[in-house]
Amino acid sequence: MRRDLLQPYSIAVLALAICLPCIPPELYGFPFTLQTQSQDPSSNPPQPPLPQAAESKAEPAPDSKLILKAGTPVRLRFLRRISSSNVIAGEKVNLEVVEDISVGDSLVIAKSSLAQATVTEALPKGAMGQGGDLEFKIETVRLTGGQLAPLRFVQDLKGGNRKGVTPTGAVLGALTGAGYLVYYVSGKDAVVQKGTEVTAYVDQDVLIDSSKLAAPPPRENGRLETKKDEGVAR
Amino acid sequence: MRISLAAILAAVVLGLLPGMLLTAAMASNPQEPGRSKKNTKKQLEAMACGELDRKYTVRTRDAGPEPPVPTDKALVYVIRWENADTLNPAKLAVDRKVVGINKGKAYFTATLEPGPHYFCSEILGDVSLLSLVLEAGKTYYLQQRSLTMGPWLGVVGEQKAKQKLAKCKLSTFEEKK
Repeated sequence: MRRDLLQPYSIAVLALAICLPCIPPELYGFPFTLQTQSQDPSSNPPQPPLPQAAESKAEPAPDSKLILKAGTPVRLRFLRRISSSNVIAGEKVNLEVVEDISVGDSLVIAKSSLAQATVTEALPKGAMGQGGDLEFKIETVRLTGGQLAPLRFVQDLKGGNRKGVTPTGAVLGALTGAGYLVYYVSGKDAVVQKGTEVTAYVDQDVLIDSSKLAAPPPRENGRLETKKDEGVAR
Repeated sequence: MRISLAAILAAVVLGLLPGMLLTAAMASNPQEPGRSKKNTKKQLEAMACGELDRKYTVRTRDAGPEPPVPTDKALVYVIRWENADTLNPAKLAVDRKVVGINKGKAYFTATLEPGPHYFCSEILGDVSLLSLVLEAGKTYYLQQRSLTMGPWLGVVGEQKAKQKLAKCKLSTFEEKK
């Protein structure tokens, strides 16, 4: 008996048996995504663009203006998992642009730039199988020159993990037409998984100074923040 | 025997360590409490619930004409159309202030500033929490329910709410002195 206890594997088995109940159950699934969101830029208010080198130059000629047309589709991806139980209405949520968008030859929205949504309703799941509700509004996307373009959301989920999203919720989300994405989940929290893709649309024509597009992106630009976020989340 | 006790002690320490570290990681950064369900609930409760332990007198009367929706504010209807458990009043606090109390088949309205608001519905000490960003000039309909496991508060559609409102009385309240 004494020898058995001294065996390394006996100690390991005992350690495992004691350790398992100590680990919070929510950490079994997505271990660190939720816990490290303190460093997640998606929960922070948008940073104003830093002054760029291009801004110190002379005013560009009027013909250097580009127009990003209203209705231009922008494919976006959620940077973190969002549950109706761990957000509060008013919180900001970041998404990243999935693919480059150009006007003519000019890149106006770079892949991995940040878009921002605001949580407009958060209802945690309730007793007796009452489902949680989660609603948010996708508002802006950052252009390569640092400018923000207004967005509206008119299309529902595409790809990603749609577990827990009912067809009713998906249709309602698509039909609201006011830039809202609505999830209704019966008896569970409404959840948007990290990596879920949606397509939003530019809400109105945006006049862009093409001379600023050539400038290097500022440090607070989405590209850098996104990389940081992904590193943390993993 | 002494060695085996040492082995058990080592196993206990080794076993508890990961759990302790993970718990510490979860509890870190109190500035971002919306990160775990527990912290979110705690924060929302702190922002929403208040004045619920005071004593109130609740009365109902026939509803008058619908209040106009102010252009610069949001109008919120809070309805409790069920009959069950109507003896226990359902209090509603918004941003830590009680704005109305419903017994059964009753409703009240609240005019709120546009922006985020935190709602706390309480029945017999149990609470249900909801957060909403309200828009100026819009009307919102909330339902209060009393379930076996506790209260529930959620947004309901306008059509359903209006049907139920027709059968409900207007609820008013005042604090007992």
